[in-house]
Amino acid sequence: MRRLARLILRGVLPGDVRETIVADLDAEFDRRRGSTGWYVRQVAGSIAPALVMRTRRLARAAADAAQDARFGVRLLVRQKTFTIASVLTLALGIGANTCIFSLVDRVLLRPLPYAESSRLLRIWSANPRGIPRGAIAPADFFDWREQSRSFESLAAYTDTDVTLTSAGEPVQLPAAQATANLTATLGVSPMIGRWFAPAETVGEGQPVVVLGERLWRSRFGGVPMIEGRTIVIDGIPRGVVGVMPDAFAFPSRDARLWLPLPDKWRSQTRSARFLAAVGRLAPGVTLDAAAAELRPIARRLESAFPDTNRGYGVTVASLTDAVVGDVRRPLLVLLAASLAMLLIACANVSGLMLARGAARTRELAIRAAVGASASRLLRQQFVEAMLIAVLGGAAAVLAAAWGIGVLRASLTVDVPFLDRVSMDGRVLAGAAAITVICAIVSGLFPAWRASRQPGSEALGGGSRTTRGHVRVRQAIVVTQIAVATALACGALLLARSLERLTSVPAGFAADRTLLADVSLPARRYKPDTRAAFFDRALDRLRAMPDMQAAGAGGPLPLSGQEGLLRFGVTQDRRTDPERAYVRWATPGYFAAMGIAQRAGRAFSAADRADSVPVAVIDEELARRLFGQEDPVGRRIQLSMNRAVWREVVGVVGAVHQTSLDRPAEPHAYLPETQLASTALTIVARSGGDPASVAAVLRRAVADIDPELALSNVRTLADLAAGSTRPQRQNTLLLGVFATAAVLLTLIGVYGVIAQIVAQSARELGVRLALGASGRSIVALTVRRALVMALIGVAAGSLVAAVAAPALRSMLYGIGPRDPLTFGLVIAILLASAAVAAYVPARRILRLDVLATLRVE
Amino acid sequence: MSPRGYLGDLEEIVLLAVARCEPEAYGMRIRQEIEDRSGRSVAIGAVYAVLERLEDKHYIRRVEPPQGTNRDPRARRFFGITPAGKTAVEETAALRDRLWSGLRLRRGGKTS
Repeated sequence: MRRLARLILRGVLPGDVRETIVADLDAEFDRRRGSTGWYVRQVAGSIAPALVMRTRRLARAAADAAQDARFGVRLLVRQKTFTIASVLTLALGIGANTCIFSLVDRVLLRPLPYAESSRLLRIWSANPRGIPRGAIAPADFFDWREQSRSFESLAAYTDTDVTLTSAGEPVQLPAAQATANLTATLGVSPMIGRWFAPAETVGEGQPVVVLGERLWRSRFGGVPMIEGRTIVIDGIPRGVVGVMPDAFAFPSRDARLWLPLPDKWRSQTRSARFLAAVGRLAPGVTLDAAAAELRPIARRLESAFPDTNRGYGVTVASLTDAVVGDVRRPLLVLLAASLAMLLIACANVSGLMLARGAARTRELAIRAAVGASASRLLRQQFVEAMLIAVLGGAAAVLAAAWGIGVLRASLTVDVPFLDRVSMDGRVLAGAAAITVICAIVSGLFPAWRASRQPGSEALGGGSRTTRGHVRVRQAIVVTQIAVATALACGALLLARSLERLTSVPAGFAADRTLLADVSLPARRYKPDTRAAFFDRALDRLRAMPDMQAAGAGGPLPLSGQEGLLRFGVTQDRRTDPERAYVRWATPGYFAAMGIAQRAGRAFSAADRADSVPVAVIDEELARRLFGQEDPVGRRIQLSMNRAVWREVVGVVGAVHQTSLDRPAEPHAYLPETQLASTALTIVARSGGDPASVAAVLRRAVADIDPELALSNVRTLADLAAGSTRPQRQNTLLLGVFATAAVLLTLIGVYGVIAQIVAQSARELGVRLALGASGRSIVALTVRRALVMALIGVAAGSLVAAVAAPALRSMLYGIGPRDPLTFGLVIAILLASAAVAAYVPARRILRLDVLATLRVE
Repeated sequence: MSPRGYLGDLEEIVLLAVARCEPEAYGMRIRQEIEDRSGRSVAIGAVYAVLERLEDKHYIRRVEPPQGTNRDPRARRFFGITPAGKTAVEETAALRDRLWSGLRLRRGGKTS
């Protein structure tokens, strides 16, 4: 009982008097050998006074803080230059970090917008040629679904393009075909109506369609009575059964409508792989367990269908990983870079506060002398740092709101969920946290430094104490230079990598060329009418005065559309096939694309459906298939139709299909007249304005077939630039951070040299009076800065050498420890540090020797 | 001290107890003194809370412990009354005297 009472007493008493009172009470209890009842009454009676004591302490602390804040505000108002410089520096750092944090938070930290998204997986066919994430054959998918037990549900889908003709102008739209269980798998509900029923995917599939919210609003006015309405897609009337909310965005944000994925695809050959699959794990099943269950199923399919499935395995990853995996590394690198910049910004403010602290030495010493405790002085300094950080943070939030808008506008395509990045509560909380960190990082050191001022010395007015300040500032500047060096190395590595990447010849000439996709509905267009359509449309283009070449073909290199996957190609004198992309081309395609003709001829009007089957191959396939031999006149066979041997009539230059950072892949081109394609891209190379070419093309297509839609009208240059977009974005952002970091560092160098010059004015004055030349003293001062810079760049290069391999996956054609890059950064930083030091050091030359000496 | 320095009920009692106990004025001793003189039991926490308030008002101050007592800093805090404290008690007593003067009340009325 007594022990419990003592415990309670200890709990309620404020810390500074706790031991005294408890000891006092215990001593009295022992002395009078008192009763436990007395003890308990003493404790009970002490509870209320103890709380009163605590309240008094809180009130006192609040009053102190308010006083500190008032004092701090007065000081900040008085020292406007210092305040503005510090606030702007922190605003820059906090603002940049808030922007990047808003991205990181939305893309990496939050779960996907699907119910219990941690249970969602993506599943791929693992290709025997080392492509672990390949498309799946419908038959394989249905077998996996039936034979596995790990999934609550397993859904499949595939991208497609459709033409909508019944609502206004014909328009080509990105769409998807999906199984009936896709929405249940993802845990998403339609906003209107329903998703497909399983019965609607049986056999050919029923003529139904689910609209996306955006299409529903833009083409159908957002009317709620949309269910049951019939719309015409690819010439087929389909009944609308539901509308999916915009947030669904599956398989991508582009999908405007969804069609049922017909079960009859199951009867297609297993070599046609074009499905993607997403699964929801059954409760309690792990990703590894699901993968372990699927693997033997894939092996059974391998032995059952060796012709099509030999070597094909299965790859499983979380849906989160599949969606954001590609951007994780770049985002983390940007986050690290923005934090490094923040560190430098804080260091600058720290330096400014130290310089001010040196000037305030006297004031602080007086306050200490009249009884302000060290902790009180420390708190005073810290409150000032907090005030600056809060002002900086407020400015930063405004800047970040603008910056997030800029990021959203400029990054659009490559970052998932970018359109949902916004300045919300979480981002504000993040900004607040960054602000507090800033206050601590930039304020605590100067505060500690200032609070241990040796009072008497400072009052004596000597300059010795300020020496310490300078030394601390020098250390801070060295750190800044090191961080800036590391950051600049990273940024320059990315820039040089980008330069190498963009100088890779793409294999085509991107200038002054217009592209437009056109898709001819298979129901109305037979092979001969297709050729006639392209002839007429291209002739209209060729009649334009500036037109140099026009053709159609595809899927285009670097377009991101892989189209049909690669096929085996063999030649007449060997049996083992080479894998090559098969592409379509009409006459004029190679000339319009600027793909070089290396040997033989391009396709011509003479290559018709009933003439000799022909093919053009690129130099990459020619090298692999024929080595040194001349391919022109030889024959090749494609695994997609083995009955036909095609004569190679020409060899063209190689192009990069997937991206510039991978080697050019082998290609075989077929004339569109001899093998029909569902969709082609019209390519028009003209000396004139692309907009007028587009107008002529639109008119021509409308004249030939009013129900057709052109889509994706763009230039070849846009397409080529799009392929390096992520790299350019990363380089730009990292470059901005590095530039800001270097500039802030140079300001730091300038500041510390200016302080040295100002504070050693007397010493320098004596030297000048004794006959030292001003120039030699300037040189000496600049050399001090260079010594700091040398230590800084050495440390920074070390850091960069250790950290840069993290960038490896983002680099092309350059090592993460490229010596030239490092050398360049070191040279730039040393040179600019020398300049930043020289400017304030020159003041020595203007020093009035007599005046400085007279001050004493 | 200033006119606002009139002492509260318990403040006056504790301040007088400090003066009576000096130089042995520490928490429990003061508490005991009050109990002995007034017959009123006071909780030790209340004594300390009042001591703190009096110290803030500069009516008492911490003094060195008398020779030969335990120097453990954790242990007893000894207090002494300051000149300002003396003035405050005197003024409070004087105020009471002024209020009493000429007043005839039945003994046992509500006074302290």
